[in-house]
Amino acid sequence: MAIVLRSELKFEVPLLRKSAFVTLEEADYREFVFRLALAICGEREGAEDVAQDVLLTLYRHKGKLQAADNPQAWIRRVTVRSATRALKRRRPTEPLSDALQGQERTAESLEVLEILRRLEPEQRAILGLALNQGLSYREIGEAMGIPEGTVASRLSAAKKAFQRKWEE
Amino acid sequence: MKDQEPLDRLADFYRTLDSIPTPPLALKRPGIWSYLSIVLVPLGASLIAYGFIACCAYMPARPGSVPRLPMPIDRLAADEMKADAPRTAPHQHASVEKFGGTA
Repeated sequence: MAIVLRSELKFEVPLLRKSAFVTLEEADYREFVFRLALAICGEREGAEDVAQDVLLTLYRHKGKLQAADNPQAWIRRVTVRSATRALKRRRPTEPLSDALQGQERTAESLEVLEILRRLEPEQRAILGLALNQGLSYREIGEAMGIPEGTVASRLSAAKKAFQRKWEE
Repeated sequence: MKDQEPLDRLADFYRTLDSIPTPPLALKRPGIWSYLSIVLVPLGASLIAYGFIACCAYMPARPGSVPRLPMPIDRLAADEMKADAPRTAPHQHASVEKFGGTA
């Protein structure tokens, strides 16, 4: 997925306008943030909440974002932190029958989600970043705030944990 | 399908996420009316309530009659006290009792 990220965000406060509150640049960021949050949460509903939270953070800290050398990495770090925090906060989660609203609900996807829910939030994050987003170890390390060398071991541990819970 | 490796299923699950469309734009910052409504709504409600009370209080009994203002409470109390007061002056009572007479 090609995402055009621009180094500067333009936030305009529209007067007397009911729509078009978000500029094109924000729309690019929103897509990026939502995809990332979805990869970590695995559920549309949770990802929307996280994306909303992150976009608000970006708006509040737009100075930091503009000053960042790599805005994409900065946004990714904020999103990962927000998503893992949301996953920790949402325990115990809603019933599995209510999950995956608005997305493909097959027995297999529900089964996978059930196991993902039993993993640690950091494990879910690293699995999503590696398997869905296809990020490199360096990018995952930057996003999660861990050394690059640790990423491989944590990813391996997360995969093993998933397999172990699958077999239980 | 049952024999599929768990990690393959996980990868399939992540692939299904790509088909989910991005939800509509949700970041809506408040416009000027949102800020103004904080002031205007309570102000409007107060004015309506005040106007209603004022209309009820000062509405004339008949069309064309002079509006009758409600009597102030202190004046009402003063009138009641005046009505309950003895007709004779207090010093007259005192003088009668002092000299053993009856009123």
